[in-house]
Amino acid sequence: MKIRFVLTIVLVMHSELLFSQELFPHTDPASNIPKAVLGVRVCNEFFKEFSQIRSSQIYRFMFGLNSKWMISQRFSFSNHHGKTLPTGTIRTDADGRYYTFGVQKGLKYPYGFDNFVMELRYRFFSKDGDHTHWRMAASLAFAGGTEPHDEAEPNLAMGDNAGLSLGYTTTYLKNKFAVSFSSEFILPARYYEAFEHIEILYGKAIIYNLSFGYLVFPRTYKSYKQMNVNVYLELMGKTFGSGRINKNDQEVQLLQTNRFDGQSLLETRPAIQFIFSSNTRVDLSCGFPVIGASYARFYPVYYLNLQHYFYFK
Amino acid sequence: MSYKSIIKLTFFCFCCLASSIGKSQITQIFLGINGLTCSQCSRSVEMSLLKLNFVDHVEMQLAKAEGIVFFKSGQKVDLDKVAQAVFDAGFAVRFIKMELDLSKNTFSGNCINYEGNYFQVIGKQNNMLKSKREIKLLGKNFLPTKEWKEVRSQLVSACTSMDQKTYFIEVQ
Repeated sequence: MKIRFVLTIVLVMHSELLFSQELFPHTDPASNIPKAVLGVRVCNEFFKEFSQIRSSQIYRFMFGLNSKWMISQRFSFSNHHGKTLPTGTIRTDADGRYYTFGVQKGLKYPYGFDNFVMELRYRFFSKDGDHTHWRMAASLAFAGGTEPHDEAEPNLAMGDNAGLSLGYTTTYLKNKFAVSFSSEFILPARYYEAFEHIEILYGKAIIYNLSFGYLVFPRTYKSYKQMNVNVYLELMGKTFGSGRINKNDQEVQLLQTNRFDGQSLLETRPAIQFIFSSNTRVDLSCGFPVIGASYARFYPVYYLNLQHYFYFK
Repeated sequence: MSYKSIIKLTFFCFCCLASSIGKSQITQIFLGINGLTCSQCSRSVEMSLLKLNFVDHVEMQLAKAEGIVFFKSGQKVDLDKVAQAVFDAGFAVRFIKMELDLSKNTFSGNCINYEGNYFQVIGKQNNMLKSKREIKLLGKNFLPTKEWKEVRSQLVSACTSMDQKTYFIEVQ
């Protein structure tokens, strides 16, 4: 009886949940935007840093050049940084050596432009089947910006740094589940303040993300008007090297701060996603530390993404 | 026979001919799509197909990853463009099937001249085709890679034409 019950459940799930979801809130799948379609996404990130609410908005425009190539452009805005390092960040001791305690957390900054990221993605492998696919894609991104990010940890996508990145993604779907692994190498550019002769060097980083997606509703697709509800679990890993601050070509001594040490960290970001009219997407998620912790963000970190596709003739 | 009767007869013959041509138009196809995994993906395929000027409307069957594509009356249908539209949306064709009324068409060997295109029958005799039959397109753009590799050695064009496409078909 038990076996029959289990078999019935398995058969029902197999027949009804033929669609799975790869529309991950924090990572791109190996599938691209369709040809001549413009995807517009607004990503909002919030966290509390002492008495300050840090907020960051990324406006992302994605366009499918053809079925294999897509381009993407992001513009990031936040209240994470000032225009330059706060006055008095780098001090001089009695012997003329430079030292710093790092930038104090919880300072109030005006909301402003952080960086832009141009990205080119190429889907180089596809093995499509009936309700299944396995795809791989590579990406190249260039980020430009001049924000005085004061931690070793680089982050191009969320607006903290300028630099280059090279990425790889593989996504596999089979009936109910979508699984995606993505990895990215980040080569951050330095921050330089010409007037003060201050240079900040960031650690090179490798990102490794593992994402799972699962369709919760509807049980059976009948119409584009049905609201879709998907749940996701994304594990976001990052390993980065140490950073350094120089002033007048001398290394600045770091006192009572570990924010320029290299480290490995792993975050988990559970998410729920609502898709309206098979187009407009709303993602809600929250980030928690599993191993290590980000220097740049205080936990929990809250995310709200909105996305819509515009179809052109 | 009076002059008016000749004109009437000519007009009647023209109407019959026009009606016969109209009947041989491909009005709809059944489309199977591989790689579809979400309703948003399905919608993208539909929107891509609707960009083709000869497509009237599309009825996607979301749960099956299949659809019916309806064509505009009087418009020439390009089946390669249909496959390309699916590809442009980021997916692949699993099958394209349609009904052809072959009773009014001319054969030359295994080749059928239908709506300005040649359809070459693979693996069946002509006498099986003197009626309305469901056919499946064969070819790199119309089959999954594995199926295409199995049949590609048979897909040698025997329909000689400089200006018309040849589609390989299998009678279902």
